[in-house]
Amino acid sequence: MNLAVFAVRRVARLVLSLIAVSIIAFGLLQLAPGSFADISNLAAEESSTVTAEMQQRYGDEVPVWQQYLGFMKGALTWDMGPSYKYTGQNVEDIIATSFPVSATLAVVAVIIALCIAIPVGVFSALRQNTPWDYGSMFAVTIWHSLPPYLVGTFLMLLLSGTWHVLPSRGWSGPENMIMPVIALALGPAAVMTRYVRSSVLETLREEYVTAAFAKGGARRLVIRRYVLRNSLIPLVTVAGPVLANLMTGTVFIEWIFGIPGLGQYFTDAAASRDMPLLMGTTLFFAVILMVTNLVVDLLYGFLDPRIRATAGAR
Amino acid sequence: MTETDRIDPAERPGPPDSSEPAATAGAAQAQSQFRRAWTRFRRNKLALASLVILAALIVVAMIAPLIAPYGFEEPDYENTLAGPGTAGHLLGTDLLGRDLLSRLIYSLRTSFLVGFGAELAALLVAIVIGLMAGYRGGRAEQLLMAVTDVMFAFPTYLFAVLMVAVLGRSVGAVILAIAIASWVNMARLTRAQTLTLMQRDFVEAARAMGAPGVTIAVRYVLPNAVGPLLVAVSFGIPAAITAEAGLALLGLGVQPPTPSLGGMIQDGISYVTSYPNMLVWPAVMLAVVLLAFTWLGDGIRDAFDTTGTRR
Amino acid sequence: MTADVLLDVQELQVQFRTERGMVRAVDGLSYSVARGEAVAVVGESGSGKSVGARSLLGLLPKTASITGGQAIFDGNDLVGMPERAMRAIRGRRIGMVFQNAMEAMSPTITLERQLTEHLIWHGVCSKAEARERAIRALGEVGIPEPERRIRMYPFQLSGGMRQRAMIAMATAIEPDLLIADEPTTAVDVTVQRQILELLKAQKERGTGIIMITHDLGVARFFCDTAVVMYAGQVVERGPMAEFIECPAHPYARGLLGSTIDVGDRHRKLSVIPGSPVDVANRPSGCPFRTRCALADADRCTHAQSLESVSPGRVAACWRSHDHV
Repeated sequence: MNLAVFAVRRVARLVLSLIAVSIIAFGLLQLAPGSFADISNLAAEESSTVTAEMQQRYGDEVPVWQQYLGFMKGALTWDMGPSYKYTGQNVEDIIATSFPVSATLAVVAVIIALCIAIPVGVFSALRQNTPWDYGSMFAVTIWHSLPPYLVGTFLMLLLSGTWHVLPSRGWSGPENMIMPVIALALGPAAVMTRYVRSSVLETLREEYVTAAFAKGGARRLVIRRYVLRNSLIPLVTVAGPVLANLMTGTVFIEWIFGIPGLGQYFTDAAASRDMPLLMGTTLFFAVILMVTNLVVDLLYGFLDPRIRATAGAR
Repeated sequence: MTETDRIDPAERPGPPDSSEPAATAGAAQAQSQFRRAWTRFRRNKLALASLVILAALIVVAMIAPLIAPYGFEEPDYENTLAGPGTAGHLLGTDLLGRDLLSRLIYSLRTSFLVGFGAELAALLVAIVIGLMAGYRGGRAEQLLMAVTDVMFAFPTYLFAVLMVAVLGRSVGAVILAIAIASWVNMARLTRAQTLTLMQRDFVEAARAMGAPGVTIAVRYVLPNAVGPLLVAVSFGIPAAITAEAGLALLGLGVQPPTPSLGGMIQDGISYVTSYPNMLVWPAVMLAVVLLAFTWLGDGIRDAFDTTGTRR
Repeated sequence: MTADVLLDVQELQVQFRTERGMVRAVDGLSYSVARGEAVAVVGESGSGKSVGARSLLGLLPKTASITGGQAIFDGNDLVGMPERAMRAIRGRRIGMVFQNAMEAMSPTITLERQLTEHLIWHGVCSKAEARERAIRALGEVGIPEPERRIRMYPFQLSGGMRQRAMIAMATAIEPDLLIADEPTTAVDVTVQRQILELLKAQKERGTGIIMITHDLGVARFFCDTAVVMYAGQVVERGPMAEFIECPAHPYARGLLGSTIDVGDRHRKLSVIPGSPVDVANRPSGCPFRTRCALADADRCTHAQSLESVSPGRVAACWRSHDHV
């Protein structure tokens, strides 16, 4: 397939899925008790201008489809109007300030997860059926079964509750990041460790590995150049599920550790029925997830010369 | 959602016994499949122990009012924030002097109620739509594919959060929210199973004899798809329990004062530095439940896995 | 034996550890290869011919081990050789050609790297010189525009070109001995011919060749010696020409009878009845007796040793003299 056709098709599907998500989310929130323009939750007096803007955007006299189109137009022009709960702040500003916090957590967590998954997975595969292998796979099962918020809870119990070495909540310095990123990293690390292990085991059975040894390659070198390269490239494909996992994880982790990230605002918006903010964060999550999946597909093509050649050159 | 993805949809039980009449072959096959699975399951000590622990916890949750020393809302103002071992309070009390052991027992009730309830609801929807999509194709199949596409565009848990914002916080609403967020994968699994089983001789034979579609689907296809579905359910229940506790943790779960492990964790986090006792018990209990389900699920999967591979 | 003998394999035994216990995959394999000599190790799949060759270089999976015999290469025993010494021989002194270049070359590494890296590992030459030699080797195996193609990945070449590139990979370093493990099985007939010509050219340069194949038509193309294996054991060994003329062992006759000979259209093709025995359940006595038309209930239940049938020829069958 031509690269351009491939890209256009993928982007078209992405846009369609996004529209579907936005309609479903908007429809659901319409069903919720209290309308978008329900300002009874508004606690502030200075909100007269906000109220006016609200009424104009989501008032009772505005038909639902116009409200939807209005919101989507706002989303596209990066002007989603004010939030109910955080009076005086616009939805897009909240997203713009909170997203970098969540992204930092997620990126550091992914790096940690990779730093755990690659060595442990490779080592387990090279020492298949030894106590080390059984032990690490048992540990992986445990990490995998416990949700990030529970791992975070245990870390907090240990490091803040028992040893008092780290602050339990807040977002003021690097010490606030340690527990959240570990809690976030363990789940993806478990998924990726398993993947790396089975991928390496599979690659070790390939004839080209035997061929590399037959050329006189040292074990270490053959493993690095032949086994690792061919077994780690497909690791990119788990990035999609891992990202969804992380996104969910940040929502809970930000909540328990009191971190002002996108997930925290999403939760707050859901709890206080702040519909514009809930709609905005929901849509933003969906965009991030889909764009990352697209990037992952392209990245995989770039890393694997077989796909690169078939999609690009011809 | 990742758990069910890993299950091989093309799992093949042994070859059908062609000498048997087609009418009984489907059922007999399903039965022998179970007997073999149970024999294999019994050998897995970790899975067996998990089953025993879970069974015990479920009994405790069911007879909660009989064995809980106090009501879950019953305050003891003399003993607030009491440590474990305080007279009358084995595990201590919380901020309001409510007995932690009693709250833990009642929380288990919520966990299992929501876990089993949501999974059962999801299973029913999934089986109907999955069977229809697999057997008939057409509308049901298109619907399933469309929903799948959208669901992949959004993380399941966040969808549950959205649903709770819409449906409210009664037990039923939470069950519904989690069920709606989690039925799709199971439906896809049912469809895949149906498609494979449709190729099998005993289904073909039943069809040749003119059995109506519904009969074939329910009597021949479904019993033989039970193994993979059981595996999916055994991973789905802890996922639903995780979701329930997670929602409660966010303050979006079952409405207080009904206790929930997630809610207890949320309460405990505020006092983690001064009084970690409040946080330890619900966290440990949740971990025990989830790990037991994982090992049980692993055991069930290995028992039904005819290829004998372990992950 | 002449002083030119490169490799002398004596009574080699290889066992696999399986769930059903130890299995003798190779049981008493002996042959020798001189410079410029090509030895064909012939047999059906599962006869141990490939395992026997790979064990020489220590390329077997962890479950396999050499349990007996020796393999003297250039004065040193390859059996039990320390890893470091073995590594200096692999790829440098003994090269290997595989059945399928698509599987035997990494899909994510360019030809240049795969053709030159071992020249550098073994300290044969500099990187730039290695590139020159690889390009020359590619040209020698008949790949047009080698300067351009060397930058490609294996999957970008046609099947025949890939197979020839793999031969270039093994020969660019000019090894003393080349093990070719079914090098023509995965390619079509026209490419088969090219591959055989290339190996023949190597032989004429003085390289010793061990040709592992199930196809006597391939073996007879340029090999001097035939070693026929069945169920891990050598059943016949001798000069190729005499062997083709009149095989002494019934299995070898069956094998030859089932070979397509392009030159002789009138000869009837025959098939060996039954399927190869499983080395894990090898029958007592002669392993071939379960499929042998000449099997004798008394004589064949005893183990058959390799007996001389004519100068330089041995066979493991009590009736082999009847045929020579």
